[in-house]
Order: sequence, then structure tokens, then C-alpha cells
Amino acid sequence: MKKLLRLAVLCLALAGLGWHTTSAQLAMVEGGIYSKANAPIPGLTVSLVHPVVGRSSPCMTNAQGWYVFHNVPARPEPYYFEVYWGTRLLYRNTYLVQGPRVLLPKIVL
Amino acid sequence: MTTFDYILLMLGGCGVILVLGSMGLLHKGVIKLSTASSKEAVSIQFKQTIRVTSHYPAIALFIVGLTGVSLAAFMAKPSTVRPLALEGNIKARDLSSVRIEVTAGLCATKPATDGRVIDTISPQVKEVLVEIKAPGCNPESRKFGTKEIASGKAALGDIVLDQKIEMPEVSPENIKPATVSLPPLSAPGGFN
Repeated sequence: MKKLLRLAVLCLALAGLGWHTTSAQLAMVEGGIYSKANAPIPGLTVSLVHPVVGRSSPCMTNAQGWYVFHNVPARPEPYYFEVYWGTRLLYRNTYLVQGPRVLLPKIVL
Repeated sequence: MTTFDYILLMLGGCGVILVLGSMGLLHKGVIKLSTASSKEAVSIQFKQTIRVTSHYPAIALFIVGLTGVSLAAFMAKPSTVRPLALEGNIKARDLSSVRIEVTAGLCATKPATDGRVIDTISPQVKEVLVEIKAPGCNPESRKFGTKEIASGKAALGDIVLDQKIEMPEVSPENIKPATVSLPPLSAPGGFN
């Protein structure tokens, strides 16, 4: 009986550990945004939105038009990727975030 | 509440019990100040540096209790973070879209030779970076060190954001319709 109890506790602990490791998977998402003249666009507000996880903290493109999100929870469903000029929506598309590093395709506006 | 908070709460509680208990014992006459003798003394010693000896057990209990309460109150006191006042003037075509991001640099550390990171950092702000950003403009930044942080004042000066790129035309084909209700841009960020 004691052996069974110990086994059950061990199984529960392993299951908990497994759940913890899968739920803690975070990805780095990055990419660049350029004009039609192929010039990087700085200062654009970039955001990732997910129906379950919610909206990311807004990130702004740097002088090279580059943006980086550091801790994006990996999800089986795609994220909505939005680009704003101030508060004006310029771009929206869906992308899957899986794996430790995700490089989104070059966006030309 | 953390374990430390619980320990503080217990310390404070024990202190109150000791203070009230000693007063209660004195009130009931179980211990008396008048019956103190030079032979029966209560002595409390801390790390061979502080030694309190009293011939009055009630007073000793009272002091120990009061020390417990005071120690708990002192340790529970929140650390005071000095505010940093930012002052400056920004010139940009659209001031409503200007965003000022402030990040605090705590310290830098290095991994061990085998790649492990084992370090203890003291969370004290040693550097403050202020970045001024606007759409289509190259970002401007100002860095402030310990001197400005200690003075509590950070002068940004005059900052001119030059419009490098004009706003692109909004093309409906660039905006994929959302099939679910999405939180607005102003919604608090859940991750980054």
C-alpha cells in the first residue's frame, strides 16, 4: 500500500514537472519593417495579440526598423501581429510562435 | 505573502505576547518588581556582543518583547526608492504619438567559466536610460548615471525628432480581419 502511495506521489510530481516545463516555453520573436523604398521605418508600434494569452507590451521599431519580443509564450494557435503608426493600424497578419527563436518575414509597408 | 513576511508576522506577534504577558503577570502578582534579588537575574546575550542583565524578570520579558516588535517593524519597512524627475522639451511633428521609454540598469554580471550563472545582485538603480521615440523618426536617447539619480533630477534638454519617413498609405489588403475579439492597443501588456 505504501509503495503504491509513493508511486502515485512520484507520478504526480513528474506530471507536475512536465506541465511546468511545457507551460514555461518562451520564444524570442523578431523581425524588420521597411518602406516601399526599402528604408527601415523607426518608431512603429508593434504588438502581438493572442485570444488566450492577451496582448503583449507594445514594442517600438528601432532606427534599423527592427523589433524584438523577448518572452512570448509558445502557443499552438497563431498570434495576431499588428503594426501601428501611433494608434493607426497599418498591418495585421497571423503567425505561429513555436520554438525558441522566431524570425518573422520582412514586412514592407 | 512570502515566508519572510510570515516570519516577521510571527516575530511581531511573539513580541506583543511577551509584552502583554509580562504586564499581565505583573498585574496578577505572579512576578513582582519588589522581590528582585541580586542572585536571581535574567540575562540575555546576543553573539557575545550585546548582553542585557536584569534582576527584574518582568522588565526583561518586556524588553525582549518590545525588541521583537521593533525589529519586525524595522524589517517590514518598505525600502524607499527616490523618485527621478525628468525635465526637457521635445519638438516633433506629432507630439501625441511620441513615446518616452525609461529603463533602469541595475548592474552587469558574467557567467562562470563553465557557463553557469551564479550571482547575487543588489537591486539598486545605477543607470537610467530614457528613449524618446516617434513613428518615422530616429529614436533619441539620454543616459543618466548615479550622480543624477542621487540628485533626483534628470535634465533631458531640448530634443528634436526629425521626420525621416512619412506615414505609409493604409492599405486594406495589409490588414487581415480578426476572427476573434482582440483587446485594444491600450490594454495592459501581459507579456513581452
